[in-house]
This record gives sequence, structure tokens and C-alpha cells, in this order.
Amino acid sequence: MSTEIIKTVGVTKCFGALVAVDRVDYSLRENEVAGIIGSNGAGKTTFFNLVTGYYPPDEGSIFYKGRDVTRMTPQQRVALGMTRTFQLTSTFDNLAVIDNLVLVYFRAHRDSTLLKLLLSTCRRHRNEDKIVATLETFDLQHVRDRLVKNLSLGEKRRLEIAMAVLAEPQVLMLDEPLAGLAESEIKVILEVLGRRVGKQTILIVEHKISHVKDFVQRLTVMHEGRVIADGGYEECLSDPEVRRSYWQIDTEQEGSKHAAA
Amino acid sequence: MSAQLLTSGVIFGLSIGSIFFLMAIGLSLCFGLMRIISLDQLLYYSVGAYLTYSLTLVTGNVWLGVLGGVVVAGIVSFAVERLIFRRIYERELTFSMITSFGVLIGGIGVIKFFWGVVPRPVPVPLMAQIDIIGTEVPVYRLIVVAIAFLVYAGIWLFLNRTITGKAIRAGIENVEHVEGLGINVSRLFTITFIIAGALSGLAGGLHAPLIMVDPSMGLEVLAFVFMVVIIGGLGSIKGTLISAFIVGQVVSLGSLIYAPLAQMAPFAIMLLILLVKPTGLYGSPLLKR
Repeated sequence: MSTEIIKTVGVTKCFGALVAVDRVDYSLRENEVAGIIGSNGAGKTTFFNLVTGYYPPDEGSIFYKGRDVTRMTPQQRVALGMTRTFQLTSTFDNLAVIDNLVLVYFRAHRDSTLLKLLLSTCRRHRNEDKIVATLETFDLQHVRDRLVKNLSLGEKRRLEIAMAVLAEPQVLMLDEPLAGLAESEIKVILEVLGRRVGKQTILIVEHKISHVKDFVQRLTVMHEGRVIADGGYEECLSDPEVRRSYWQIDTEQEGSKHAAA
Repeated sequence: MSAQLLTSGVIFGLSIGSIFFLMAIGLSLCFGLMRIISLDQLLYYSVGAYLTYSLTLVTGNVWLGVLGGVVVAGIVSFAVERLIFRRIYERELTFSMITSFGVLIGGIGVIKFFWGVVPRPVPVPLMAQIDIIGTEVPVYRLIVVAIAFLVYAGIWLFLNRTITGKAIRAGIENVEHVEGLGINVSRLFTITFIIAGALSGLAGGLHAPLIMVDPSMGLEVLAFVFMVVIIGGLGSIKGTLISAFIVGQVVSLGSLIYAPLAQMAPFAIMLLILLVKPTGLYGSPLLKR
């Protein structure tokens, strides 16, 4: 059985009177591809921010490979092997595409003294095999020298995921990576991610289940800050609470309709 | 106004603009990346000037004094960043402003303790003059302008060619996302703070031979440096350079036309620019923490 890589125990986060994440116990195993879905305001992104260290939890603990990382900064968690993307793209608009990738590559592969860090030039790293391969994989060669602010949303999303993948994390965490994209762009991103299934632990937060149903091995449904279902796609889909809360299907009414029929 | 007077006014404006640029660049970078208003940069300016004074007395070489001033200002800024600013980055902007003002006032006290309150003269390292359109212009002032341009080029190359520079630019856009890449943001903050402090020290060292060095010299240029940063746009190097020269010229030529204009006109220009472009000449509305 594969090892547990991320585990949360009773994680809670409140914003004033609003309980955004309510005592969530969650675990993610090595090389598992898991999805978290839920309607708007379900607490998915807040939970994501808690796991990646952007919010400190009010209660509960977060473990990474058995190590308590609850009080670690996002940067320390990245160093341990967790890399995330953001709902709104986290690329740097005033840098070229290639420079965004070089920043990630250098951080992931550096053996830097302060002097090396200060004097290392971007030019030296621009033709690294891995960077060139990443540009090809994500179909970004034609825009490699373009400023990110001049890219389309689809290209920005591809770049952001490319940056996350280039960092070679142990856990790749994607926060609504398909939001606002055209179907053709979604296909490209799912295809690239699909190639990593079985080779990497991936946690993907999505609003729409249709985007991730063929991709994830396990699904977790959140509603009003709580986990209301956890398991396979079919299992979650048939869960009465999921039907009521996520699909907003009135199960009782549906039952009486069936009886009448 | 005669051509000679105008030429010497322009050269004076360029040299004072260069000093403003060297001081403002630190303030601008510190705000752009760390979102702090680092008034203590004015202390490093005084430290640079006093070290130049003392080392010139000991060695007899002003340039060596300037170099010493740069190094010591960098060291002092490093210590202030580690001991004070590191603890307040997360606090509100006004908190950093008040804290840095406290550091400035405290630092002025230390300067008074060591050097006293009597203004000190520093000799001009180069007495030569050069003829420009029939006007004798001090070569030292031209050297100050050249050094400012060299610093601009160096900072530009650093920010646009090195990985650390790109990381700083990325941080000016969004610190949180830089942290998300696993880049050591705290180290970037320290590097930026030292660069800022050292450049303020350089400004003090270069300005020392042109003025009398006194403990409150930083406070005297405070308003001008602020104007330069605001007109240029927070976080913009190019904007800082251009606005430093605008303010320098307005101060210099304004005083030739009507003395009180030198103090008043830069404010009028700042208000005018802010009315047309609230983010300053080159400030980005994208700046966010």
C-alpha cells in the first residue's frame, strides 16, 4: 500500500463568524490523483490554502509525510515538495515566459551560494534541456520570449501548470486550473496532466465535476466547509447528501415522483 | 537669464538630481518589494556622508571615504533589516513608516553623539573645471552625474539579467506568488535592503563635498526624495531616474528664477502629475502584495 503523503486532522478555519473549513480530516496517498469538488463557497480553496500554508488553521494539524507542517511557511512547504497553482494565475506578467520558467528551474535545481545566486544570469539557464522540453510539452515555444501580460488566459494557465510541473514537486496541487478556459484548451491541459497519472501525486480542486471525472481516481465533495463525501466518482455521485447539496436535487421529491410513477 | 547661468543651473540640477536618484532608488525598491516606507534610508545617507568625512580626514582620500561610507551604510542597513524590519514586514504600511522614522531619529542621535552637532566640511576631490558652451563647470558635478547613470545601468542589468533581479521584479508584482515558487523571499528582502542602504550611503558620500555635513542633513532632503519617488512611480527604476532629474532641474532652475520657487515648484509638479497619473510616471497599477 502506498504511503500517506498529506494528512489533515480536524483542520478548521473561520473568518469572523463564518466557518470556512470545519474540522476536515483528509488524506492523500503517494501517486494518487485526487479531486476536491464543491459549489462556490464550499471551502475548497480555503482548505487548499490551509494545506499549502497560505492560511494558518484555527484548529487542527496538517502533516506531510508524517511530519507536522502546520506552522510552516508556504516556502518551507514548497521546499518539502508541495507545489501549487492559484485560481487566478500566479505567473509574473512583466517577465517573459522563459524567465518565469527559469525562476522555477533555478530554485528547484540550484546549489547556490549567495554570490552564485546574485550573479547567476537568466541567459545561462534559458536553454536547459528541461526548460526547452517543458516549453514543448505545454506548447509554449512560440511565445517563449513574450511578456506574460501579452498571453491569452489559456496560455497563462498552461504556463502556470508548466511552472508547477517543472518544479518537480512530489505533490502537484492545482486550484481550479481549468477555470475560464475553452474546451480545446482544457483538453490540452488534461492531456498533459493525464500523462502524469501514476507517476505523481496530484490534488486538483475544481468547481465543475465534468472536467475531472475521467481524470481523478478519488473524489472528495465539500459543502459549507465540511467533507460530505469521499470515494470513487460513482460512489460520490450516488451519495444522497451530495445529490442534495452539490447537485441540488431534492431526493425526497424525486422519491415521491418515482412512487407516483 | 544668461546662457552661462542657465548652463551652470542645468549642471547643478543634474548633479542634485543624481543625488536624489541614488537616495530615492532605495526607497522605491523597498516599497515595491517589501511594501515598507523606509525613511531610515535618509539615515544611511547621513552615515555615508559622515564616514566620507572621517575617512577623508584619516586617509586624505575622498574617494576612499565614499567607498567606506557605502560599505558601512550597507552594513548598518543590513543590521536594521535583520533586527527591526524583519519583524514588521507583515504590519501595516504606516507602522513601517513610523518605525523607520524612529530609526532615523535614533540614528541622528547616535551621529550627534559621535560627531557632534557642528557641521563638517568635506573637500571636493577634484577641483578641475571644464568648459561647456562657454561656462566653467566643476568636473566633480559631472562625475556625480556619471556615477548615477552607472548605478542606473548596474541596477537595470541586475534586475533584468540576473535571476535574483528577476525574482525581485517578480516579487514587486506579487510577493505571495514568489513565495509559492519556493523562492526565499526573506533573502530577497535582505538583498534589496542592503542595496538600498548602500546606495543611500553612496548618495551621502557623493553629496558630502558639495554641502556641509550635519546630523540632520537627511531630514533636509526628505521632502525632495519623497517627491522623486512619488512622481516616478513606486517600484519603478526608470521612473525614479527621470523624476529625480525633473525635481533636480526644478529645484536648480527654480532657484535661479525666484528663490522660493526651488522649494515650492517640485510640489506643484508632483500634484500636477498625480492629477494626470495617480500611480506616478511609471508606477504600475498592478502592484499588489
